[in-house]
Amino acid sequence: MNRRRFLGLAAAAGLAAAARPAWAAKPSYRIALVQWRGDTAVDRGMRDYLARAGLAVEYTVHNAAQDRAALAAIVQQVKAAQPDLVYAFSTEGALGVAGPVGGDPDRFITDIPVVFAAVGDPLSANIVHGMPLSGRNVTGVIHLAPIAVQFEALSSLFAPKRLAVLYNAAETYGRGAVEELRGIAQAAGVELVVDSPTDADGKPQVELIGPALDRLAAAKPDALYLPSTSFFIPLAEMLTAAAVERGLPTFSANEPMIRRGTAMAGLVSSFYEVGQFAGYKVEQILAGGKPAAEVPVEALSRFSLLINMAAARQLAVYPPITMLRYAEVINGR
Amino acid sequence: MSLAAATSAAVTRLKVRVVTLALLVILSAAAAVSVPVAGRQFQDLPVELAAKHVTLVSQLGRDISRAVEFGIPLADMRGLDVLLADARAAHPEVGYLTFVDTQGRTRAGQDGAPAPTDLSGVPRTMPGSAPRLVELDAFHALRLPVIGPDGAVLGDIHLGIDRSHVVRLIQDRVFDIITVMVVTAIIATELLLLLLDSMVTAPLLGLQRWAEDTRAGRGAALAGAPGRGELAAFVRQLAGLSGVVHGTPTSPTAGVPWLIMLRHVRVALFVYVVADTLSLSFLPLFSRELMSPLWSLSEDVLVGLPIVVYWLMSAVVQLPGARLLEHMTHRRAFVVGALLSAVGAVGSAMAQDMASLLVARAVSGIGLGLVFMVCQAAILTHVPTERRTYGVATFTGVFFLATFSGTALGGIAAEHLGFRATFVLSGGIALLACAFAVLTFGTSREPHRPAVQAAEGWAAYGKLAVNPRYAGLLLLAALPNRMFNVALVFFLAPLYLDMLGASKAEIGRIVGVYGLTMAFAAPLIAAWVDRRGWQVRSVVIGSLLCGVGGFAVVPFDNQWGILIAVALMGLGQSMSIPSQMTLIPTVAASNARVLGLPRLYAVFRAGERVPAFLGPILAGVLVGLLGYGAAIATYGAWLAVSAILLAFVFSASRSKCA
Repeated sequence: MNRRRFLGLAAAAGLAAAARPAWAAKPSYRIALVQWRGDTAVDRGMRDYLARAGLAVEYTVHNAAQDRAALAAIVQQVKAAQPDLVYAFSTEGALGVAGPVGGDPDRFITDIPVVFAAVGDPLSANIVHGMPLSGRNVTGVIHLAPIAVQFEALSSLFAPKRLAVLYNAAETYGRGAVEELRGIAQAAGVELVVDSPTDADGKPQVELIGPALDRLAAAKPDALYLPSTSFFIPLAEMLTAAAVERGLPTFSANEPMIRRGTAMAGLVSSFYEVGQFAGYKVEQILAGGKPAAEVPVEALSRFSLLINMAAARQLAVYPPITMLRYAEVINGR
Repeated sequence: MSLAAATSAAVTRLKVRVVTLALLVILSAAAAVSVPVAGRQFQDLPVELAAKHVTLVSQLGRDISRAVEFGIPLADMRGLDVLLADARAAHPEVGYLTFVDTQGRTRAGQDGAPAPTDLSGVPRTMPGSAPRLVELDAFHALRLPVIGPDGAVLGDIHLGIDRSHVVRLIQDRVFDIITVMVVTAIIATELLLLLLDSMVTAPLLGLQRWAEDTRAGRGAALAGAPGRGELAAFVRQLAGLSGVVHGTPTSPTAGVPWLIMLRHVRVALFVYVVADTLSLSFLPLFSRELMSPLWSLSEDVLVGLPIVVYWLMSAVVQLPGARLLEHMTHRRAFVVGALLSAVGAVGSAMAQDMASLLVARAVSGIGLGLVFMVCQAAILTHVPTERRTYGVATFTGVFFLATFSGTALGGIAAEHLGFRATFVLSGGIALLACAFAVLTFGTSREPHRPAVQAAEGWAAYGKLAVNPRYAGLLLLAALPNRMFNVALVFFLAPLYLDMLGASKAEIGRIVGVYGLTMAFAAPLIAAWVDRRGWQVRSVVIGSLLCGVGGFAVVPFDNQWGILIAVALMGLGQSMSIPSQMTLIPTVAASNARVLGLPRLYAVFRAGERVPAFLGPILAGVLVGLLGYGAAIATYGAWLAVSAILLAFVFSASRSKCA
């Protein structure tokens, strides 16, 4: 599959659905939809794509509510129901459902195809053997721009000498992203200051975000970078406002931080489009009869540079005029 | 003066007068139209450019205004310098591009050419109005206000068009006009000469032959005249009358005189080479478009590969082509060659990847090799021995004239039609050459010789290899001349000139001197050489001239040195190459009786052309070791020493014969 074909098909899917006669026989598929933190734009994108493609799907929704123990129970429910396919949102959701590479088949789902969406780095998270083919009964969509590309955009925007990073040390992706960023920043001569709002047990706590930001602000960084994490997204408004209060211009890997919150910028994929791309992969497996192992794990080819001008004005930190030519500007006035 | 000489002189005078008059009319008319157009460019071009720059500056102004609308204060605006520098880099004619705020402070754009110190006198061009351009120092100055979101003026963007750049643009356009005029003149001349020879020279030569026969008492009837048109019809009527009066039966037509056959070959070759060289100027660009991984070759090698394959195939086809010539008429062989070229051209137009382009160029190369071979063979068959140098020089001259015309026309066609359509056009013109050859080439052919046994054949080739004069001509004249030619014209001169800071147009003009010298000097020198029978001297002196040219870069290590080297190479090879070809039947007469002339020529051409690809490689090694100037001089020394050795070989073999 290539992304170009996906874009064409996404457009054609709507037309196809409209043209389909009512009497046409429609096989019905059962999908177990596993959420990590409730319904998201990604899940909606996936469902909308399949509806427009004309697939009759019966969904069973399972919400783990960010609880790993709940995921284990969901796995057992899915195993009992034997749906045609399992869809899992986020790194935690995908790891909880499909398990790591070589995971115990009794504890994880290995005999039903799993399609994940909004996973930052499935290889580092040990969800896949390799890329683009996973080497197991799993495929999915990556929602993040490569860390190096994000760093490049961030550097063009802030030209930082010192960069603060607030991440979730409890998540596999967060730890991997920080490690990768250390190498890139060192090569670029940028000092990295890193913190995580996790308690003594290593669990992230909302009330620890403020103190972590205080520690980071004390180092007087030029900007704050927020790697992707499911933990931060529901807290977008609070977290980014706290950063602005401390005078930290923020660059985020996740769209909601900029759209809903006051992160100043980010190089992101649209969550809804990520979901649509995942929907296409589901269609390839269910209607196309392709094994999940033969459907490549991919990211969208285009990322948008979002700039929140309200945050820029509040902080009096402005993007270069050249960047305004290609960025999507939010809150221009 | 003999009757033949008088007729020839009269016909020549007539042709010179008609062609001169026609060219005067054509060129005067073209100049009358072109000169005012070129002159007006000095007024029109800056305004034309300014209109484009108003759009550019307006866009930059909108960017600034939008940033202000987003709440970015002018004082805190980042990236303005980059914005203006990027715009300037995309428009090399822009000398300076600055943003000056309402207080007269230059906010950005000071990294370009120094702008005039006082820009306040430049009038504002308001949005939507015609550009107001003023000349200021070395620039055409333009000023546009930047209007903020609230309608207030935020400042001005000042832009200066470099006047020297405008002059260069105009010069390039003038050169384009001159090129088209020259190509028009060349094509008009070729067509006029074809018409004159067909309608005037041919019937007059028929009359002249009858007059000579009558004077010599060899019969009284006038043979039917060759040629077309009223004069030929009149001579044919006269021939009928003469037959009635003398009671002697007349043949309906006499044989076509060699001058007319030479004209036919010349025109067919001209049309063919124009077709074949249409793609010359853009082939590397087209190759780059089709670039795809092939045999792990680097991109630089791949881009040049279609050209290498084309020339290599044209050289490799010589030996099998010589055998082919013994089995078909010149007409059929020409048609096969030109058809292959047409197929290759259409194949190139349809090529979707590098591999298919290489195959198409190889087919075209085979076509080129065959056409060259058959044209040379036809010239040597039709032209009397004592005028062969002139015949071969005609071949060389027309090749360069057609190359110049085809390349220029191809560039224009590619710009208007695109690369692929130009290839198709090339195929169509090659078919025209086919049609012309079918109508005019007659039934001439090479003598068919019985098949030579392999062993006998190898022995014959062995004897040819030890023929000192043939081997000397190949190894001491043809090969070094060809290698130096390819190395200097296609490799050393362009790269050295580029290093010396010459523009692409200047490089093209200096390198083009070689072809133009060959086109005009070769036939004139050849006529002179034929009259005196100085072929050997011509080869030796020509090679020496090329060698001396190589040394020109020693005292003149600049563009002039290269120009002298290229011009002397053109002059030297005008003397040397046609005479080399003329000498082959003489120096290898005994070998020709066994192998046939086509094979002698094929071995000669393959022997000089296949290793010619070593020319640039050797040049590259020499440049690495000694530098450009010394590399050219080393090649010059090789040519000079070879020429002296060749003189010795011919002198020694003559003494031996004596």
